[in-house]
Amino acid sequence: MQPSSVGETDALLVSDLSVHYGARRVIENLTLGPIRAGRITAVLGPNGSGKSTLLRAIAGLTKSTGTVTLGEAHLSGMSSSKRAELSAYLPQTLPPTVHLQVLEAVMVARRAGSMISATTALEESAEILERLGIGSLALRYMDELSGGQRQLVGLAQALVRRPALLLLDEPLSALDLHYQIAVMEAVRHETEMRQLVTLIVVHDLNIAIQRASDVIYLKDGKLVQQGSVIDVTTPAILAEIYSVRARIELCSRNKPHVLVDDVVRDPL
Amino acid sequence: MMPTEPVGRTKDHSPDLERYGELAARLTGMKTSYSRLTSRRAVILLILLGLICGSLLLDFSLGPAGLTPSQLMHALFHPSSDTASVIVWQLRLPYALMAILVGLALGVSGGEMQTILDNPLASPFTLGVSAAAAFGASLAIVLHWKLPYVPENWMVPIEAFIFAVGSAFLLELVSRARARSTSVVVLFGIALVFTFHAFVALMQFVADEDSLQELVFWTMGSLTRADWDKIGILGLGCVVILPFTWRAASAMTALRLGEDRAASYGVDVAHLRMMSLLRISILSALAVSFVGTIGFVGLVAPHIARRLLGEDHRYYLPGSALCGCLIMSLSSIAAKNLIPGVVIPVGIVTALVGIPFFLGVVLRRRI
Repeated sequence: MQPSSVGETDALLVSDLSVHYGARRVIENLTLGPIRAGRITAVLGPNGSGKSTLLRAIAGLTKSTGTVTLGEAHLSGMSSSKRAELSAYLPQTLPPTVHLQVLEAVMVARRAGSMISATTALEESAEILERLGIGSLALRYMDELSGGQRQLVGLAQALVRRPALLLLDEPLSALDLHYQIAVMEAVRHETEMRQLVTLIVVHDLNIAIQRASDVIYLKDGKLVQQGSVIDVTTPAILAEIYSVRARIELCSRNKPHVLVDDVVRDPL
Repeated sequence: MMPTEPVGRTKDHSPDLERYGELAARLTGMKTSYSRLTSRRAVILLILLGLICGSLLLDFSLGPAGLTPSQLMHALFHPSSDTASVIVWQLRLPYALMAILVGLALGVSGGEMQTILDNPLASPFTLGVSAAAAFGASLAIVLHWKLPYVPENWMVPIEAFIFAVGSAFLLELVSRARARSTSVVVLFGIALVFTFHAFVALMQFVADEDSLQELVFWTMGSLTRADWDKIGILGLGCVVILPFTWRAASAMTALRLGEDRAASYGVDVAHLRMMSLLRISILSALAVSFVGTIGFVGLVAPHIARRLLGEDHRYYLPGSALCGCLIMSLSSIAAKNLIPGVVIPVGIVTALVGIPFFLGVVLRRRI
């Protein structure tokens, strides 16, 4: 159900967002520039920089202060069930090895918190599985699948809810090379086709630089840089964020690659 | 439906029209398979129901009194004050029905508990509800603690119930305080088991000979305590509580996909878990307070249901309840007929069957 208040050109706005766990502030007064629809925005930063927390706060899974808006929809003021209609969050962990058929697992995600009929949920679930190229797995049990296959099912569960905002927390971390590319391609395709606002936490700089359009660099819960991934990814920023000496070079196909030579012994 | 470029391993490069046809055929195939799956599950539930009816009939027919089927039927449909009628109406029927109801309560409680605590070893027995009930019973049996306005013969079940509900609420408090950590709840439950066992041991130590015998017998769990009042109360508990369980079934299936996932689908996980623990505490406390400690039914039934019916809770929970009924009913038959002329406490039978199963679950899991 695509809400009417979120159109094609609507962006995600985050302003003055703070999250603390007890006394520890993980994100402090974070304000981001508009995160545009139809493009993949990678969230990068070292461990503990608040990437996952940012996604969880936007999804409403972690308590936060500040405002988050998607187009005209004021996400931070919404109940969790209303927010769930607009956004889909894919957690870091793979879908569990539950004894459900893949088709059922996707149907459950479609029907949770909504009143749609089983037939509609079935049709939509079958369609999304076909679209992600895993239609052949529909009748297999989740506990028989490989990690990569389970992650694609996880993505199907997020997409079947027809969100306007897609939040993916390290969806590639447990996957082999084939599935890393397969998942990223599926995300790119869905983002462009459905004009989603897509935020993805990844660790692999090359995946980010080649497959995302925009990037947000975080460190210690603060924004370091935001913009087009080609423009803002520079040796200086990588030294600042990751404390590494890196080069960005064009390959024979004229695509940028990040090459890391060394760590910076004395961080800048 | 747009046929778009698939990205998984099943890439397909055939022309568009052909792909439309293939896609439509595959979608129809999925729909047919899914409806076949749901019908198969409905049939499995019906078979379980049939088996329960058969077991109930057998439980009713078999017993140390050696009554013939015609005597039983006559006593059932023409009750009088003769021995056969007393056996049928005061012993056989209440025992057999109580077995079914206790199995139902423990089966559904165990099924829900394993889902909300995300642990295959969770059950009212393994997390201390039964141990707490035993301690409550020991207070009534050994120390003769009296409660105002409670008739003498209800003292044991009521004190057992109070402690069973109390322990379940403690579990609930811990789960609320530690909303994100189910393993803490499970460890807390195990701590409850040891604590209450220690208290019961203390009671046994100070008990006189008669009380000791009664207490030991109580902790073995026996259907011989069944009567029509208790059946009525437990039956009413099931009738009131099970519709709420049914209503939560879909949300619980979503919870099986992972807590974060369920929460991001808009499921209020904390509320779901709290309401479920409330239902579990009442149902399991009613069951154990009436018949004593019955172990492993709440643990084993959900595992069988999961294998037979998958984890769509609209099938899994009824399946777990029915498996609980069947296990209890078969155990009741075994308890009466294993040793001729002796009714073994049914708790011993369920433990004997349950422990190997429990070990199987533990050993099969990679910890």
